[in-house]
Amino acid sequence: MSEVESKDPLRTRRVALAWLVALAALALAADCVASDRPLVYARGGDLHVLPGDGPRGDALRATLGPADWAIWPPIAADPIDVRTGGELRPLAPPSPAHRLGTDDRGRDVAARLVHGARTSLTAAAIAAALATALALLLALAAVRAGGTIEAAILALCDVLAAAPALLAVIAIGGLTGARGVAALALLVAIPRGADTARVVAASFASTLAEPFVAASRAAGASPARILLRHALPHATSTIAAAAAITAATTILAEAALGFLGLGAPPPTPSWGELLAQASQHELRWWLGVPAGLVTTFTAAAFLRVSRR
Amino acid sequence: MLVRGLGRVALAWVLTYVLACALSELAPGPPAERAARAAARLPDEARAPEARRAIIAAVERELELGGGAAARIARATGRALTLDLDRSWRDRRPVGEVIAPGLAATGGRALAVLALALALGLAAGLGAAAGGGVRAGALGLAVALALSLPTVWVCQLFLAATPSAAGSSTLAVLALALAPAAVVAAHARAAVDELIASPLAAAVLARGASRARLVWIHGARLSLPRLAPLAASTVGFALGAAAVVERALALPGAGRTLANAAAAGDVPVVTALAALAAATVAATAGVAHALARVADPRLDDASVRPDRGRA
Repeated sequence: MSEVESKDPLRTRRVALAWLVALAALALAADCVASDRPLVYARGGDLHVLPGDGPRGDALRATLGPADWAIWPPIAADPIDVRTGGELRPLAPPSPAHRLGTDDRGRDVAARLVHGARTSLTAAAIAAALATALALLLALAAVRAGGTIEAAILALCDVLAAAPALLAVIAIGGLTGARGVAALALLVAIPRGADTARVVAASFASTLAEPFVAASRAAGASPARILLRHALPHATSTIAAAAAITAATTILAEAALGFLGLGAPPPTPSWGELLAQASQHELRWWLGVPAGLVTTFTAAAFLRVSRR
Repeated sequence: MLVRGLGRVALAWVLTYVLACALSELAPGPPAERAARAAARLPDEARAPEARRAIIAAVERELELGGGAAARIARATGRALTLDLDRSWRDRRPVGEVIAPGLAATGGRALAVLALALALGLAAGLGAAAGGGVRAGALGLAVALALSLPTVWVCQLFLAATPSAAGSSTLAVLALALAPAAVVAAHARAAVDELIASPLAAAVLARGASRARLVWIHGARLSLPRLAPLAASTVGFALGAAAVVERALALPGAGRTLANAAAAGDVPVVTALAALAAATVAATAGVAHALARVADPRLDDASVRPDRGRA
């Protein structure tokens, strides 16, 4: 058994990575996994693959003859539009037609959960990328400038990172009127970027004190080259860990803001919006439990990946 | 120390006001139009353009929202310095009147969260350090779970388990204390692990003390000052997550006022609550730091200066 495996007998890091990869694949393929359009169908001798328009759901089923056929996605329901063939079933419990039931507008919860993964992971990816870029910019500027400027940049980072994250996100959202996935990502990225910048600057400072950097400097390497070729590669694992924490923070912030009605605007599917519906409708379990579980697993997976 | 602490609180208050006013200038549309919209007094542009312009002009005069962005920020900063919180854009009442009813409830809950998180976290962290092995592994899993659970879902699970407890402050405190307690537990355990590896531990054990005494007595005393910096972040988390918990559990409080004001775009109320939260976090950090220095004088830089006591 390797040293890493002996420290992690349950292989939780691998499980976490597998969960995140599967979720990312699900988010990317959400239109093929949960949609009321068939993946492939044959009607009147014509074969249609991934049709972008035309009849959908029950309307299409009604037009299929005995010789026609269709392959439907695993969740044959649209996350936004309700096409019921005449029967609207809001807040219906799980059934063969809707495996995780329906929400208060009769939309399929499983379909909204799958498409909600796209909303959450997009916000997490944008926030992690923005926070990393901001952190690198601030840390490189601080270490390159040194002296008073470095102290001023790190003091600014201290102030930004000390702000209560959720309160700051709610307040800034209210002040600027910013709504939606990109706004959420930006609001989370600023304090997280400042926090990451402190850690990355410390990593840079530690690497710059190494003898091999002194040797490189003596060999004529420029400060920029030393930072980019020596300090940056040594900080990679720190940066990756901080990005994973940013992603977890974003997932939890999206759930909180979606619940408060300050997240992605309707009718965008989101996990936070499902949790809000559970609260509004007597805690119907099919609204709250699946959304709560996937939010928890995803945040836990990002936090686990952030640790060695 | 007191003067420095008060200075930090005042700085946090004023800086948050300036920052919030500057951020509100980034919102689309002129402030007077947004203020009229927040009060739901604005008719449709296409139907009654004249009436709309008249209302915006009246709101601009009434709330002194004219001039450029710099003038508005300067006016707001001046008001913040004199503790004048302005008037709500939504219902025109003084902001103090709007936020006062919820402050005591949310502030009290934040203090209760701090106490509970410290007690729970310390007990869990020391317990795991004393037990080692399985208990330490269980603590790791519990910490990971507590940090990953969305606060709103925690509230829903509590409500599902005890449906009659809706509106209970105890549930709110429990839900809010979960994540901070996990962080405290992780830090307490790390502090005790460090203690166990130190010469002090060898000396204590050599004098016949048990491992349990080493962990629960010496560990608790030495780890408490190290937990001081977590007090500010715990209070900050409790104030921020209060918006979620108070809505989920149907409780009155400043968090709910903040969420409603943010949804309506009521800038003066959001600004005042953000500034109050920043000042509270700064005050908590100052008090926690002072208490930590009393508990462990070695934290006082002056007393551990390397040149101290030398000729």
